Amino acid sequence: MSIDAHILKPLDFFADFNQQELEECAAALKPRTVKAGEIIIKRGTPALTFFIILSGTYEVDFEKDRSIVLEKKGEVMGWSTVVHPFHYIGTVKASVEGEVLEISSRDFFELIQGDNALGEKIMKKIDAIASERRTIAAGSQ
Amino acid sequence: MELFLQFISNTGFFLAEYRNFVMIGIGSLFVYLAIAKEYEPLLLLPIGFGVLIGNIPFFKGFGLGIYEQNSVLHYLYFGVTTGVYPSIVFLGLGAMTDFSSLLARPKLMLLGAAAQTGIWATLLSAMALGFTSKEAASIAIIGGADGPTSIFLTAKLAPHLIGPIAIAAYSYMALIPIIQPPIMRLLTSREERLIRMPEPRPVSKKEVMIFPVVGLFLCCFLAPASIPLLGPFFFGNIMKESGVVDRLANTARTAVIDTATIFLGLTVGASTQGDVFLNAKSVGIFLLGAVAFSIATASGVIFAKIMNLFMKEKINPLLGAAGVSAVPGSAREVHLVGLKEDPTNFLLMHAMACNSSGVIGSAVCAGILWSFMM
Repeated sequence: MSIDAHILKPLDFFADFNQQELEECAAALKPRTVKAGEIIIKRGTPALTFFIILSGTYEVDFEKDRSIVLEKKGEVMGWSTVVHPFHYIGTVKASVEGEVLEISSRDFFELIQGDNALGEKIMKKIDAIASERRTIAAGSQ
Repeated sequence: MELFLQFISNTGFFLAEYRNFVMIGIGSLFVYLAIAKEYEPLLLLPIGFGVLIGNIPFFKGFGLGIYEQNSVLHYLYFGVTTGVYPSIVFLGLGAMTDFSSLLARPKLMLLGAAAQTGIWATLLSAMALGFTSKEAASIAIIGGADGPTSIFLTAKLAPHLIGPIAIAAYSYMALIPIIQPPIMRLLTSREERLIRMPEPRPVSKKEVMIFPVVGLFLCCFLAPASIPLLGPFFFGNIMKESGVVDRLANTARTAVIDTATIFLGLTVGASTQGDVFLNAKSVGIFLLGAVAFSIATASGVIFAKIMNLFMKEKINPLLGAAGVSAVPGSAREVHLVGLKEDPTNFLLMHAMACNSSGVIGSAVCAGILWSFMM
């Protein structure tokens, strides 16, 4: 089941996307309800799915007891699905019931295959987020 | 008692031989990798389950096996032996591929052509090893790293080898993350892997719409035998790019290609009956397939390095490895190897250009081989 493009428009991640790009992304992203306590990402496992938060609170635990909480609509999780190191570096657990949008790495690369420029735009955004998260995981913040 | 013994003698347990179990083991491994490891599930699950179906022993003459006239599997397999499924897959591929990065830097097309060297080198090797010219051509096309093209050409030239060739082609496509990166690293220096590609120029809507028509004429006039693959491919692409038949384009890249992939994978898997599949020829095909695929990867990288000798603006030679037509697998590997050296160097878009030209290149090669060998 795909989603409507208008759901993406208010999200920071998609702020500079045009209507066609939003529609392409909407066609590839799938909504998923996450139960309270559910672990959606497990540290050390191959990163196969990328998530965007629509609602809920998610606790991300990195190594050495470092952690962050993500709850802002539009924040992403599972960025290593598309950039190095290609395995999850944190465990993500939902604190309350919420909703996310998800895309598998295969679907992500198919999205790129269908629109190279859009792919590059997404990759660059994810790279910026990845740098930030790597810093947090390494304990520099 | 006699009836009971007759029943027992007709069961798969009684009819089984070691080759069935070997193949069932291979099929189970494919299914496991697809489900537990999510490793190329779209390919490995249908093929793996097909291997299981094809290797359940049965009483010959009941019209059950894939090679028996009038069996259900035989009818489904018709799409493979006639080349129908590969054509349909190409229609879907065309409807999902964006050629804008290729049009932005047409010189990257040369890397897609260079990677086809693997096909010609393997053709000669296979002939030297005693395969007939038609068999050799069918084996060589594995170097194009394109499952549907391999099946299409083999169906035309050496239909008795479809099983092993298809399995080899799809196996090597699934093994891209294992085969390609070491070759890329071996043939390039760190400095070369760090080369940044300039931003591609913007490509107009008009250009992407004209491309499928021009591409069709250029490729199919050169190799008319590639029409069954490239005709649907470029048709799929013009449906996507024209924007006037979005519904059709969407169906082609989802329901249509998925349906063809299901039956293609299942029947190719089922065609690997132990008694047909497990022989010395299959081993030779697997070895030559690996050679073909490795040469294809290496020749793309080496050709990029040669281009760099003459070009002012250097190309990252990793891109050459994406000249094989496993879309988007090999483009993704190029991107990942590049990112390991420099996490801010994004090669994916450029690799996609080589990758999509590789699809066209291997289909043209298949057309040329078919014309030569008929």
